[in-house]
Amino acid sequence: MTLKNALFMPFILFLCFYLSACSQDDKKSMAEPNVTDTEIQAGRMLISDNCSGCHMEMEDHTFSRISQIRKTPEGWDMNIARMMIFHGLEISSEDRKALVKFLSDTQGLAPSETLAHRDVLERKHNIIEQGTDPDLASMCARCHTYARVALQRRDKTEWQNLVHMHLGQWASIEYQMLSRERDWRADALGSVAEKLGQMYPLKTAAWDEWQNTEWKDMSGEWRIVGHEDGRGDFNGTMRITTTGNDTYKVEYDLVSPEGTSVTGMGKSIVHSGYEWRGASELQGQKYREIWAASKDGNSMTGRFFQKDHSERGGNIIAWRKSDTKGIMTIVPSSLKAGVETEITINGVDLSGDVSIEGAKVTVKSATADRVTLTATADGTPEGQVKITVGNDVSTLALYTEVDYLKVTPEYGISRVGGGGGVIPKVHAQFEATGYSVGPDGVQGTQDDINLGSVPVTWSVDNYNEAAAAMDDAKYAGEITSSGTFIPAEAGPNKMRKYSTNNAGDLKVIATYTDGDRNLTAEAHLIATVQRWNNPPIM
Amino acid sequence: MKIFFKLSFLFTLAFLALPLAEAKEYMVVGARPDKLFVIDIKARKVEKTFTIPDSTGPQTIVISPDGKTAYVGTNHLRSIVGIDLDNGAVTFRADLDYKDDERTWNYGFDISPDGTEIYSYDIPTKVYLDRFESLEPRLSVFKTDAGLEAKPIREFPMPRRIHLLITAKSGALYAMGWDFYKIDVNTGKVDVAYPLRHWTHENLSQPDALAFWPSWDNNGIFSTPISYARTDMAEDNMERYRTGLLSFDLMTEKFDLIDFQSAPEVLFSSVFHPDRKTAYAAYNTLIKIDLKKPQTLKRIDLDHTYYQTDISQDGKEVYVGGTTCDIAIYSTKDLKRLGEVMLPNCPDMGATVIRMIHK
Ligand code: HEC
Ligand code: HEC
Repeated sequence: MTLKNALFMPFILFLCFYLSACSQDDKKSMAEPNVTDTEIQAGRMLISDNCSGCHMEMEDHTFSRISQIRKTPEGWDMNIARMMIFHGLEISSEDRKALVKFLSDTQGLAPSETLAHRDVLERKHNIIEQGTDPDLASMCARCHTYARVALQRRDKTEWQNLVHMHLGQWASIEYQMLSRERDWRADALGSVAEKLGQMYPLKTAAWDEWQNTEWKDMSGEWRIVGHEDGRGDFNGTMRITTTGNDTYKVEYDLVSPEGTSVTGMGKSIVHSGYEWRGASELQGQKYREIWAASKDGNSMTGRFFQKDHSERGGNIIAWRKSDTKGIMTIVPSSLKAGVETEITINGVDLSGDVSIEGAKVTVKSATADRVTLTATADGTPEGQVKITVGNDVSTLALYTEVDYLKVTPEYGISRVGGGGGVIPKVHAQFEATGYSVGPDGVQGTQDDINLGSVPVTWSVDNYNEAAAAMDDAKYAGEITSSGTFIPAEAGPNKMRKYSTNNAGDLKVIATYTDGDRNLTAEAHLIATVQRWNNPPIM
Repeated sequence: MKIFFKLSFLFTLAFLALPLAEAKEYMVVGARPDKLFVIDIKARKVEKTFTIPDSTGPQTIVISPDGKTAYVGTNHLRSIVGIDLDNGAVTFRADLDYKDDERTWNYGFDISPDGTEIYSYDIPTKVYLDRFESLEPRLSVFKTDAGLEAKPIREFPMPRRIHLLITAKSGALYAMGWDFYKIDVNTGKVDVAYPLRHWTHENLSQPDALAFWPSWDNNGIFSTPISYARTDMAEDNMERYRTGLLSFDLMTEKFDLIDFQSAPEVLFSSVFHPDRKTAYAAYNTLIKIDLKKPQTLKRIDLDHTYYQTDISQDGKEVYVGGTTCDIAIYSTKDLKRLGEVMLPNCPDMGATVIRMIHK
């Protein structure tokens, strides 16, 4: 932008604001190329109207405590919720949504800044966070996830302000275990704030660069493939149509894991240029979507989950049909020697001959989206082999026998619920994956072959002697044939020792049967009590 | 030295003997959101129920030396309210965020032996329009006759992380925190009376204890379970993790630590028998401890979790309370269940304390 244009800007701004009709071909702002000046004006007005009673507006149009922090959409929404609950802010739900949008677009996080913590953003349940600094984890990640910290950007003084908020709000913070043996306040205001300011500062090259990258409109025809935990793989198409201001209408046309046709509708908003937040309804089931678009805006990945059971859901990959080509998934992802198996290849713009190394293939149907075939492998080679459709290549696992199983998650958490209370049960979903030991014949080595999910029967047992003494397996809940653990009701149970609640410490056991061969694998399940609040960022 | 011994002996006698003479024993407990109960414990009967104005969950309870008034910490740890135990009248109130733009958390208070002053340990936060600032804790001293808008007459900065105040019989104020401190209530001078975080016991790790429970009414001695590790023992040796009883004699102002078992269970609170030969501690279990050996003599499972342990003046009954709405009563001899008191309408006691009084 030239100097002349820059000087001219206030006038345009004024005009647009005044007429408030020229938002379509409105000038992009200087500092925020993806946000128009009108949007910036409107955003400032929103803050001024709703927040300036407490947060001072400065001469440079920044607001005290607000303009010095960057957060995710969920982070901003939780922040506004705190203003309402703790500080008595009254705000319409329209303004709240508009503010979350504005703040996420102008003070959000870049894709690379959220990458390490998407599991938490996606509300994956009971994840064990990896790679966190142990001291920060014991200081800051025992009441909430470490992600809640790492998904914010601010300088040292603002980290200190946050610590002051914690101390003022919860005096017990200094008295709890893992705090009380140290001077929590001095450490938090001192070395921890210092470190956080260095690790997660307000200004970063990643955010600058992302603000200067063109944020793509998501409208178009998309191919979507996914996996619903405990149920299986699905695929289909989505037609995304813009409804203005980064909001969209979505029409789904899917093939369910059971092979039936499912259609449905959804709505979504994209924050910070890539954070897709959707709500959809398929077969009467309401879902929520937390996806991230790629930098080029041509693909999306993320998680969907049931609106009322965020622990139940799965993952998707979506490709924009006009700009992509290739194989997305092979279902199933493995082929047993000597057994004729139906296989579906999902992708975009597929055409040409179909072949699988080491297997006989009969194509049953083929479209640009999907190829269905039957295949029979003769036993050699074993392991990952090439599968091709024309020039597009992917891999498929050939095997003779399932050698061992793994149950995921290795460590699950369910929570009692219902029982007349307001908090629903939190289920725990388990899946069993088959493995071949690979050419070296040794389990647990590099060449082991993941054969994808295999059909198993499920059972639970007491985890240890203490659990057996309390009869946990009897009281804590039941597991369904699809590996969903459904915990028992909340509240004390008169039948139990100490009238304790229906918590329990359990083993989840998967058994795979192949002829007269039985393979088993176990996971650990903590069937525990309710959480009284379920914030978007745990 | 000799004289001192004799005097303190006399005091001990007086202290134990006086109430026995004509008084009847009662238990005082609070419950959410605003109840204070006076219980005729031997009759297993709630005798009086009072309603505390502006209350959320009563926690600390301090009884005036004449047994007439219960000072209750409530209103989200922000107020101390004095209730007349005969008629429930509110005779005293100190709202601890008495400074402008402050919010304050109370983490313990006690009363002078002559009943004229209340010492309150408060953690203030300054509230600006758009930010908080956590301030240093302070000791606020209130006159008990200051009425319903009591303001402090003295104020001193205090160390952080204190959770229990105890006035010894001499009037000296003690506070348990990172260390056990002795506080001069006139100058605010703080000395370490018994080091915890900084203790120098050979081969013992830094101890951990978070005591809120005043179990000294019938025995003249504060005690609390305390845990630590024997650093000279291997990490996988279960004997490494130890449970002790830390005690503080309100008459002699002497501390003592006895190590009585490894760490097979969580214990929240403890109480000495008036004869000081045994002690009792509870949480999910109730145990009887031989203080001379020292060792655990007996252990029973409780029907649910209880926070505070207390004892009758005749030493025959041990009480466990807190968490829900019942006080369970056991024999000090063999931990046999003797009975219980159910609070009317089953209100939640939460972290309220038990006090034993004699009127
Ligand atoms: C005693 C438990 C506890 C500890 C320890 C704790 N937090 Fe929190 N934190 C909370 C709670 C509760 C909230 C939710 C506040 C709300 O309702 O908005 C929170 C909120 C947050 C938020 C979100 C605030 C916002 O408005 O976006 C951040 C960031 C955060 N904490 C960082 C930290 C850091 C950094 C530390 C360590 C110095 C820490 N927390 C330690 C309990 C804790
Ligand atoms: C009634 C006064 C009041 C209003 C109105 C108010 N706030 Fe706040 N805000 C506060 C206070 C007090 C704090 C500091 C304590 C805290 O963080 O909760 C704060 C803190 C903040 C912070 C810093 C939080 C952090 O993570 O450290 C942000 C950001 C914020 N407010 C945003 C807003 C926004 C946006 C609005 C308007 C939608 C708003 N506030 C309205 C009083 C207010």
